[in-house]
Amino acid sequence: MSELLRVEDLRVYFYTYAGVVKAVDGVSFTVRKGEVFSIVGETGCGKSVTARAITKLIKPPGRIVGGRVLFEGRDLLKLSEKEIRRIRGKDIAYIYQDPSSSLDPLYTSGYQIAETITVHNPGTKLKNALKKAIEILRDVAIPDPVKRARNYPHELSGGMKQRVVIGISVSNKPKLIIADEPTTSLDVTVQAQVLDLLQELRKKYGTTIMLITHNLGVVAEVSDRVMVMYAGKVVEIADVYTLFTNPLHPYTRGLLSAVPNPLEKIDEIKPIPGFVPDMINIPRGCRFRPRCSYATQRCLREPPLIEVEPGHLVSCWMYTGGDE
Amino acid sequence: MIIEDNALLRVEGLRKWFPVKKLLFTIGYVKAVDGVSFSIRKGYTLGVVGESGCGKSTLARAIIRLIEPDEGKIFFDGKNVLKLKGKELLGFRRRVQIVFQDPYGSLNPRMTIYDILKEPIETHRIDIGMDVEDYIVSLLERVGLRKEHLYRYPHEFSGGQRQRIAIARALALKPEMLILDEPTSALDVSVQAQILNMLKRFQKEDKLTYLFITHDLGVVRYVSHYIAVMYLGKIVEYGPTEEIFNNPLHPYTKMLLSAIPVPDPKQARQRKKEKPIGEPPSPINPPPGCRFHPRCIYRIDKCNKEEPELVEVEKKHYTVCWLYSRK
Repeated sequence: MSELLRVEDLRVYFYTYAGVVKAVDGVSFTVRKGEVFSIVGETGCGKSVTARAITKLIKPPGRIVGGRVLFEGRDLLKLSEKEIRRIRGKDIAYIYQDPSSSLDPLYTSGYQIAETITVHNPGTKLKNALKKAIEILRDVAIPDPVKRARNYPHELSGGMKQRVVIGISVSNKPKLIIADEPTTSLDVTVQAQVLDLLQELRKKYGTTIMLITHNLGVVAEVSDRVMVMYAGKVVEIADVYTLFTNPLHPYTRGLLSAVPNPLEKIDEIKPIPGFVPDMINIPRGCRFRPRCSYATQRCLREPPLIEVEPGHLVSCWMYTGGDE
Repeated sequence: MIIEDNALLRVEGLRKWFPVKKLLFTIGYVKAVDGVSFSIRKGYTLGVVGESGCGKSTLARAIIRLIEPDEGKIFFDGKNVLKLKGKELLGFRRRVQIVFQDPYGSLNPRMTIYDILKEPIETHRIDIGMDVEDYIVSLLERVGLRKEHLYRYPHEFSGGQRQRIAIARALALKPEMLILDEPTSALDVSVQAQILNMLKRFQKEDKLTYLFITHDLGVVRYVSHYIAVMYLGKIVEYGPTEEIFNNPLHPYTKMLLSAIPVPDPKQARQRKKEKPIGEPPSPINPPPGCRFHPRCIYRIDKCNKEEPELVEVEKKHYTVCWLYSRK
């Protein structure tokens, strides 16, 4: 599979009164065409900031201070606001957690899809775009799309609203959809439907999906490859099977054994001791060191992200091969 | 019946409807809890699962009378809770404590941890047999916090630490029962595991009885001895935890189980899944007959007309579904 997106050494810092929060601090990864690439991690690990930084959606006091985001070979971080707006919503579309705040309460669902089409295809008549919007609503499995196109967001259920948001995101047949916790606010039965829908649309349009989530169940269900983040850093990247059967980084292992699998009888889950570090005073060296039971002296230096087997990258001194 | 005589808590036919008003007229009711019966024996955990709007949180609040139920009986240790007044009600509330989902909302931001933990002790004037500060420090240490946290304010703590404080406050009064309303839903998984293990340990140490409300099926399987599955204000299935997971009876339970994402890619992709249909309907004027019938693939003729009755299909494993009715 060829490469669609390459992020190199991305750094996003937030300059707050309390100090500099290095929310994303040297993150590199690639997303291949047609795959579902998931970023998983806990609150504050920088997964959402990474996703937003890809199309420069960082507001002050946040600033992208370094790195490159190569999308089909072009560095998006070098583009002007005007240029990047042509990509946002067209080639790269977003889906966020809360569909109620993604939709404008004053416009109908059909209009909001049509607007996205007309903005990126100048010359398209609104009337035609509205017709196309109905097709899209049908694609996202909304029953009675003609009627639903005339509904305002408050007239739709949570699951329907998220379908409309997905409709907006696919309306210009994007190459990449960045879905940031798309099912977190939904009930489990609706979550399953929305995940199915994303998979179907991916097949139909050949879209690549970057999925940001904290839910390891969702990761296991839909991903091809997974990146695990911790405190602004990449700790591990692997294909989904390898990550779940042979996790290498102590944090990934901890995360996997902390989640109860509902399909198995569980006698004991093992929590990770301690808690996520304060991002203003991050621990020196490996950021997971204070919570890691394998930590040694060398962990006071920052471990590099190395490829231990083809496609499996990990950032931990245990796998660097060398001695202390 | 689901109700056992020797249980610590018995709930019989509990009902709470919220009127929906338009101008001066009541145009309908949110049937949040609509005829719920169950019991919990001392030292056991009953997990209540269900999707948003199924009434599980209203149920939790109604049991300790934070919301007055419209109808039904609640017996705690043999006494009818709904008839308690004054001192007796206060005494009941000491014995049954509640922990809420949001540790940001449940701690007063203007009080130090010391004051937060001292308040219930003073209100209930319980005999702690030692200096108040020493007692509070012992509570903090029990939930994994330290003495130096005593005079800090809630905003200085992380979500997991705040939930520990909320648990310490609940334990301060040496209760017999805890109502846990989504206690880990706002927390990260690594922290969630810490809290769950702590709650399990306390249950063993103090013989605590838990009513554990959650929408997370993995969590409920880990902590519960028994499970009640709720749908639109009613319990649709009740039974021992492993029974529910290995042999789900009600079509809704089956649908829930096949919809949950499994943290194992092989299992996730190879298992047979039933595609969930529709969304949980609004609890205002729910569908007639069996409330689940519009989403049910096993629907038969009478499902939309008559409400099914509770049947014991296996030992202690009950469901409310026409497929299992002997009639």
